[in-house]
Amino acid sequence: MTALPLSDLEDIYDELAEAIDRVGPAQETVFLAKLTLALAHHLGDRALISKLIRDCEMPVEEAESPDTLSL
Amino acid sequence: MHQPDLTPQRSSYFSYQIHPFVSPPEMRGERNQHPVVVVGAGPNGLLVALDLARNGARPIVIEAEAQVCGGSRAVAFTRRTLEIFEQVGASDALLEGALLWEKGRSFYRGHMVHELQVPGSVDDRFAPMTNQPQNVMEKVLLDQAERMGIEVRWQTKVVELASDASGVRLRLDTPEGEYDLSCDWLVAGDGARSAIRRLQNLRFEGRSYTGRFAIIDFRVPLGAPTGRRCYFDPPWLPGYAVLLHKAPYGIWRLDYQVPDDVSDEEALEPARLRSHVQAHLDYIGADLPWEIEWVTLYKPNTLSLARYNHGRVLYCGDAAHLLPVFGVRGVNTGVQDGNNLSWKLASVIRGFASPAILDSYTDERLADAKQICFEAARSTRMMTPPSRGFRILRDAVLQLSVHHDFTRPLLHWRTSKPIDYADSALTTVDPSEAKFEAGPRPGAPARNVCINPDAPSRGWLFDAFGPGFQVLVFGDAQSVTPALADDLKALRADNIPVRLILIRRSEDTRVPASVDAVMDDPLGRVHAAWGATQGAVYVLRPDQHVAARWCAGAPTRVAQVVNKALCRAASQAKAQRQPAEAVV
Repeated sequence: MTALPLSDLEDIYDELAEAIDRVGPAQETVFLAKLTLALAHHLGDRALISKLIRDCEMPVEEAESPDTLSL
Repeated sequence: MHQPDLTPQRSSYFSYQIHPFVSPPEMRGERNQHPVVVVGAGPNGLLVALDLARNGARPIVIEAEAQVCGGSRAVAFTRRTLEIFEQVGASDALLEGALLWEKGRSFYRGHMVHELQVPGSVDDRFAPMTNQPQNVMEKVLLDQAERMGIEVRWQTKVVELASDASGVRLRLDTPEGEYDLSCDWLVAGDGARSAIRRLQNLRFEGRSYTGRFAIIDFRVPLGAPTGRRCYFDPPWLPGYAVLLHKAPYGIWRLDYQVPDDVSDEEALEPARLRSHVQAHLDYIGADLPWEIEWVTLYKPNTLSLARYNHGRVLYCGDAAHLLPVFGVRGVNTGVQDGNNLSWKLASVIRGFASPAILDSYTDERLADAKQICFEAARSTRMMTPPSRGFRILRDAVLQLSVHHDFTRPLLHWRTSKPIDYADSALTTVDPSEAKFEAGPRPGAPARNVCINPDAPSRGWLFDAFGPGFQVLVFGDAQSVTPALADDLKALRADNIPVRLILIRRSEDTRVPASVDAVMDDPLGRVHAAWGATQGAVYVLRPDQHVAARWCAGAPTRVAQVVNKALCRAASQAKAQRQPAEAVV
């Protein structure tokens, strides 16, 4: 798997945000699910896809003691 | 009659001085034609006045108020701004009491999701970022203006303006009545609500955003390092981003977006402001006493005049454009406007540049404004997502960035960078350009170099620079060719300030008469940083941007480069001389 150059990632960020706005809130979840399935089909790596699903499912909890002042 | 507020602004760290109105000679019947009047004694107006004076023009400054700006306002200055302050002799004073920094960090739910160190090197005399409140900065510029004998007319408001091809006439209102003032050129550095822009009926183009930001400066004994701290989605302001910055004199700055359902008045309610400061201190675990110093609301815009030169009137800073300030692009952009404008206008006033050069002021600075809008749009989409789609993407990137590296670069906050005027009509590109492997490219700002980082007095390349064009010749006495010496002679005969600096690797007792300064480069650090081989030449404009560079034996001539940079018509510039036959 090759990583996308940052400029491509920047463009995809905008494209995806604009697509979500176009489909509207009622359809956005289905749109994102369709896109994920299409990407999974192209990626073709069963184990990796399952791992990414579990990764992205995990909520981000507040860190116990955000040490932002010593930095 | 104009009656400005004569009550000194309150500040816990800065002592405001009320500047008196002094009756000018024009009110006693004298008729003076001033070469250039600068309106506005803020950072832009004062910087332009100092830079005009440095370049040999004699400006006077008109200011409606009786004191410098209220509050800290702009608080972070870039290295390029410090370098420009150095040109006008004000960098040392600006650094007194300032805080220097280079790092920025972004946090999401207590996790660090992005860290950026603004690149710095041993060759930089100034830190990537210097924090100093704007009122202190304005005082520094005023003190320098006083030292340079620049007259500032306080408590003087422009109420009428008439301009034609021959000059500008102003009607000014003062506490003692009105008077008329005539000048050849007028610089509007009078800020976002420019009176000059209004009197000329000029309108901004572009768009305003609906988002508003609150800035709270508060005094707190928080002993944390200086730097940019960005907190995404804090519990007290869910879904928004909050910036925390350390300012000098025990002041910290909290900067956050005001939610759309909160009005301007509500946003500035003292109880609300206090609750936000307390909530953020609680969030970051700082149990300390604090008090509010100064607050304001601002709205990011991408608005600009279509041109910055309108006949005899020239606009700079916020009078010319209101650009997004994300990435310290407010005052730092205006300072670069002023530095670009001053030498061009001074050259026109002194009679050795064509007024056409002022079009290049617009062209070069509009190119920067466009770049700033593009960069800022990318910052904005992360800091203030413009739609539901962008909010979802922002949240996705933040959450992924807690554990994954690949999304973190999207959180880059894109600091202000000095622009390359590479496409400018003033820039010459020599055929030997491809041979350079390093150094500032044509149009780019000059790069400072520390001569010897290990020596007790380290010395910097920029120490050798003075007003006017700089011609940097790398090598030895032989590198100052007869053709080059001839060109300098011809330019100087036309009163064009051109300084020849010989940068040499080894000491050589022979120094050609045309050389103004010799810089020894025993370690070859300047040669390396500028990609210069024996006989290489750089021509710098008075604002230190590269007008041209070439390697030994190239066809480009200094006179041709300088004449092009000054937009001198063929009739204005003397016919280019033939290369001398013999070595003198």
